[in-house]
Amino acid sequence: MSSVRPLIAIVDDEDSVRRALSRALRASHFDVVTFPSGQAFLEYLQIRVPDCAVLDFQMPGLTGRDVQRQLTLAKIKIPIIVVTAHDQPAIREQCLADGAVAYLAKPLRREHLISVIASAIDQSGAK
Amino acid sequence: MKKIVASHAISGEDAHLTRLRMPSAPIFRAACVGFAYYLVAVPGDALALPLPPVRMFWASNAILLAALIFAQRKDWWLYVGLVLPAHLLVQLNAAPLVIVAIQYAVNCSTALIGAFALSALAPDTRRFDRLKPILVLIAFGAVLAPIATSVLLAAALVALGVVDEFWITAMARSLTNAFAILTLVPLMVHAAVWIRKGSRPVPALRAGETCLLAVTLATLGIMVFAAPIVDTAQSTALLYAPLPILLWAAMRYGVVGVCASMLLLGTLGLWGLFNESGPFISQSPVLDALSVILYLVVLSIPLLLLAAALAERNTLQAAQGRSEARFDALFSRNIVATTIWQAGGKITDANDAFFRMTGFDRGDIEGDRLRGLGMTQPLTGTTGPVSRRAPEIATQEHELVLRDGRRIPVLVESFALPGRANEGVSFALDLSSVRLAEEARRQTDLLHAAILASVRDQIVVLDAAGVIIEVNDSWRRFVEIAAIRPFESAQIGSHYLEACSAAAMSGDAMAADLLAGVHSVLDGLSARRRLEFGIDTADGVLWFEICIEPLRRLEGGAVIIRTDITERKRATLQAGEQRQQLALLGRAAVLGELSGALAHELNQPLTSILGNAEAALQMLMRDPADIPEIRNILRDIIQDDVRAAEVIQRLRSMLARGEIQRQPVDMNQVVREVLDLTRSDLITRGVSVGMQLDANLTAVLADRVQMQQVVLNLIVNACEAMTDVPHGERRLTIATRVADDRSFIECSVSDRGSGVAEGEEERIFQPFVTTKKHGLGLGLAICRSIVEAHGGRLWAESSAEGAMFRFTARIDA
Repeated sequence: MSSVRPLIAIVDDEDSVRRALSRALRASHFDVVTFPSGQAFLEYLQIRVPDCAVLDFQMPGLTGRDVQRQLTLAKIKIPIIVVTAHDQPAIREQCLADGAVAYLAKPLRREHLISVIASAIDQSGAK
Repeated sequence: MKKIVASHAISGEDAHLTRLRMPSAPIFRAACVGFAYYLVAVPGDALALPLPPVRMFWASNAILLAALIFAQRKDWWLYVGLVLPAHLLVQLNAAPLVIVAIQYAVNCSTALIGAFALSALAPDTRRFDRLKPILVLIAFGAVLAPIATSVLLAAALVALGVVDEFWITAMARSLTNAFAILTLVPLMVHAAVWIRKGSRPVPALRAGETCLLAVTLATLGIMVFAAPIVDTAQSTALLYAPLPILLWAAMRYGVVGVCASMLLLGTLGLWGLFNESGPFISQSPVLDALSVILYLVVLSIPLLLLAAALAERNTLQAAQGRSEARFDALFSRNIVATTIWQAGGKITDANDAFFRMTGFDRGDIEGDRLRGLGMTQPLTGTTGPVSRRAPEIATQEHELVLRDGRRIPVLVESFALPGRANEGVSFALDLSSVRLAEEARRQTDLLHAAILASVRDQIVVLDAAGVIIEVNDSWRRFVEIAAIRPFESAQIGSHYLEACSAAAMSGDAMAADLLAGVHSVLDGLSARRRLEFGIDTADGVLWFEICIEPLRRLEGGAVIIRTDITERKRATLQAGEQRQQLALLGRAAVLGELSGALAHELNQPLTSILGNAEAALQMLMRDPADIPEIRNILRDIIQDDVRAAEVIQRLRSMLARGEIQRQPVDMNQVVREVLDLTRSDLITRGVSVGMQLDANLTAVLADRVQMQQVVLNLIVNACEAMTDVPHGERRLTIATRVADDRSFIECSVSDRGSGVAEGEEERIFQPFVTTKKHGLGLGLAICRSIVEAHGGRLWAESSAEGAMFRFTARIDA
């Protein structure tokens, strides 16, 4: 990894989840930017594209899948890690088919999340 | 001066003569009699015999006697007293005072004796068309009184030297007084009756007959007494000539006719005497006069008796005729069957009611075919003349055989006719309808008794005072055998209310309720009272329902009906438990459908807690550690933990079996809680929620969990219904409002699905009806059951825009 701290976007409608994940990632030397909705995230992408995005699947308005599609349509390449509190195999398949690099079920272990994020950044950097 | 009126009407048969009532005191009437005494005494005095002081026709005594007949005995002294001045006026100039006084005394005695005899022997009978009064008048008034008083007068006159011949004087006075009394007294009395009755128009024939009789009698009288004497024998024979006319007068005109006729003859006879003509002319004018008067007296007596006898016979015949007519009318028109029979059992007559009842006719009577019917009785009692004792009455019930052979029960009353030795009367009352009515009533009583005995419910009937007047077999068995309620009795006549009151006062709550209920019905405060109570027994709880109803009769009372509802109650309780279990299953099923959402709700706080905890651990490894930030992290952890606990608690309460607990519930809050629970599911499904909650919604008395279940079920169903609706169009609207009558609140859940198929609006609420692939079809059935248990309604409405499910709940009073 470069010395510049990677910017991780956390997109989740749950405020407590955003705060917890943000703390966990900052403590792990990541920069974090949080968004309460998919729409807010997409608007931010016009300013800057984070290195990785942790995207909640079940959100009001634009769901995680909707955001994935928008990114695909906009040809914005950003590693997406889909997280969900309601793990369903069918949704997992869909998300991975839509280009997500990982599909994780809540609650998330910090180490596992960081590992997945690092791997996703590396893979996107190699590309 | 008041009008003279009679005191009451007089009929032909009425022997009671109404006293002529003069408008003033008896003294006035006596004064009038005195005046009349004077008026007739003056001409009477002129008709002196050549044997003073005897007069040939002395009407004054007759007038006095007639007046005394009408007057009350206590007033007689007035009449006698007021006659004295008249007597003195007439006599004082012609005779010495002593003689006048003696004559006055004798004259009054003559009238008094006759009057006294009549008042004693024929009291209240002042008509002389009866044998008895005429006999008394003749015997005492016309014979005894004149003879006795004449003898005394003659003796006094002889003693005073006024006359020399005692017997002639006595006889002359006797005969003249007798003739006057015989002819004038009946005439005056009947004239008074005639005046009292008022004049009636005399038929022309009657008037003609009267004139003919008078002319004929006058002619004969003239021929007898006034024609010149040609042949003594012929003249003597002519004495009998008036006899047929006198008989005619007696038969056709009665006593009045005889008196008037005799007066006419007497007048003609006296005229003849004065003209020295007639059959009695001899050497002595005194003897001539006495002969004429004797002839008239002797003729008058039998004629008067004959006239009275004829009149009495006619009266009796008329009375008998009327009596027989009355009897015939009563007999023939009586509605009770009546027969007349002879000793020996032969029925001689029967009325129409008898013929109608039996079917027999007069031919059967004439043919003597009615013997043995039982309509006669053996005659006992008196024979001969009519007895004054009541006849013996025989009454018996038996069966009467009708003409067509049918038998009917009759009550027969028989007795002998009074005065008839061989005849009797029987009345027969048909008891058929009475027996039928009795039998019908008996059958009705038996039926009512059978109904009471057959009814399984326990029935006791109380009177208005709370005393038992009737119990049925079920009550008797229950009380005597079960002995569950020790204060209860099955004995008719026992004071049920008092026993109930005593039990209530000793702490029996059920007895207290029963007492209040019975009093309420007896006092008319309630039309019906219903109680339920359970009794613990070795076999479990026995449940009873008591209905208290008013006894619908004038005297009042109450009917207590006790029904064993143990089975029904157990079934109801069991059904309630089953409903609760179903509700629980329903909740579990709904929650099962929300498992994903529930997992989401729990995983979110868990994710926060884990993330925060790991972040905190990292921060603690730094030096210095960021303590404020760690403190914030710990606060967030606590908050997330509480949130997770709430979700679990909500889940537990939804799944809890718990008894229904009704409390004031804010439906708006319930909606919000359910929406919190379903938020993730709604997001997953892409369903947006619109809320139109009435801010002034009134609380309802409901079980919170059950209300949450209903709302949850409707929301889940609405989401299911919009599965095929495009994402952006999936809209769920929840609204609450207060009903217009402010007795209910209404909650509605509407979706944008395809709606409810036409005609399925009610069917979808039936159990096991579902459109879901794996559904049980109990959700809506359970929801409706819950809503209705809360006194509300649940129904569906459908439109092109989707379906709307509404339910109501009663507002907490």
